[in-house]
Amino acid sequence: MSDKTEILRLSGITKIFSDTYGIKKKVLEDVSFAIPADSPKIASILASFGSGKSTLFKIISRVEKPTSGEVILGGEKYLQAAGKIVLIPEKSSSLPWLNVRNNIELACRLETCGKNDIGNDINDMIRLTGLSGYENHYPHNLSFGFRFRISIARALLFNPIVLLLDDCFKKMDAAAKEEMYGLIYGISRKVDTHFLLATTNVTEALRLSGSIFLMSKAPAKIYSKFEIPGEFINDYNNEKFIEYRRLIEEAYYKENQQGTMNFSI
Amino acid sequence: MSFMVTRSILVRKPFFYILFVLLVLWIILFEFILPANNFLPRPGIVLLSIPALFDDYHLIANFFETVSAVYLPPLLAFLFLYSIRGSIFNQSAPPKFLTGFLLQIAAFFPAILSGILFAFWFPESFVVTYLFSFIVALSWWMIEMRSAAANPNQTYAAAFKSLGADDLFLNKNILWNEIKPGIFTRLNRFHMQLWTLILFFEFISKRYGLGSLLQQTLNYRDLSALCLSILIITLTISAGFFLLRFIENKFIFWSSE
Repeated sequence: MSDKTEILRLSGITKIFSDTYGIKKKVLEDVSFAIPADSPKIASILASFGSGKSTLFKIISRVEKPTSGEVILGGEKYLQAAGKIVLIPEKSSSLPWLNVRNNIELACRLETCGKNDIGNDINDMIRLTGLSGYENHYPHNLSFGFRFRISIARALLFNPIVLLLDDCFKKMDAAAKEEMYGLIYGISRKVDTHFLLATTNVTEALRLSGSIFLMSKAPAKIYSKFEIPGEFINDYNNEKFIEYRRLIEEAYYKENQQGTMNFSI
Repeated sequence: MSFMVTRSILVRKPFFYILFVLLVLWIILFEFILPANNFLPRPGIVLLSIPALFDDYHLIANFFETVSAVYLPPLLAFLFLYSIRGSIFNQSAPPKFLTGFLLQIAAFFPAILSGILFAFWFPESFVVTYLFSFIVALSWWMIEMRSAAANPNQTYAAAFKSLGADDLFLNKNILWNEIKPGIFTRLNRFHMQLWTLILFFEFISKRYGLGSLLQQTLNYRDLSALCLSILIITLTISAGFFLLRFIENKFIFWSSE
């Protein structure tokens, strides 16, 4: 079913939550998709608000267990390989009591980091994420964009196979978003890591991704996939881009009668 | 120049302005208008009784006894909890049971009652005040830490779990720091509560400390020494409060998210 030509495969992921009264809610239902090894470095899961994207990402990164189904990484069942699929959550995950360098260094204390020459690696990550000169800054008063850079640097230190970005740009202003799109796009060209982005923003998904999976509302499942030829990172007003947006919009409204998808730029 | 500075402080800080007015009122009323009374002492007598406070009431020894009993045991209790911070938040560990037990006890058993028992069991002991203070502080830290850690930041936990962090790592490196702002906000109130408890404990045990000094001044009906020691205690508590504020501003510069 799975092979090494695939970076990641999700097979029949279902998640049911039970509240304290025993009432069950199915959030994910048989979510299945695969990211081939030769696919573009950035893929997106596009779904409306509250559809279970964060739950799905927590399951993929082994933070939560699925009710059924399995996550297969590089052709092997993904069990204990922590640090191979790293999650960057929606809210800022940089620690406000540590400066930039210490935020990154803290993760190196984990066995899963497996680094010998930490100092050089940290410097590389700081350079890669554009944090040079800010090593001693504390992130507690700084912008989402700045804090996102720290999370990216910390995650990349692990050389993950897949980096999950859970709607990280949602709270950023337009200028910060532009900067972060450029950052992610630039990093994806320099590292081996594949990026999987969860978003509600069609334009964001189209500009960054090579493939887009459409996910329905809860109980969520993948109902469509779009392969995007070419790159729209800085060229998002041409006919091709507008055509893909229209196609995605059509597919979305065919599946969802009422939606909360963001079609703005 | 200095008059201008003083005036500026008084205008900006109404508290100091009120204090200044009360001081002036006290001097005018009790030095000149009502010199002989049993309500407040004459300012002149208060100044004259300062040497007696040092010689007869052993102010310095009592002062250090109380101050060390108020500040050292909580610090030791904090360091002890710091050393076991990996397991203190563990849901299945003994601290959870112990904290639950302490919370139930605290609901109907005032801490000072245990102080009275301590005073009865160890009437001559020098360390009993420290022991009492340590037990009260340790209980407070544990209850506050566990209640502050009841709703940890799920974002930090998810991000670090995906990197391979276990509960021990999360407790030691993240949760411990995450709860500090909330705890420090409540520490000011505990500071006052602990001062009250220690003074009361020393008052009833009649052996050492500023509480026993107050007890002696009452015994001797020495109004000026009583007022002076109250003033010293108030100033010391204020200094402690400002020290805590300084530590908070210097080291706890972030807020809970």
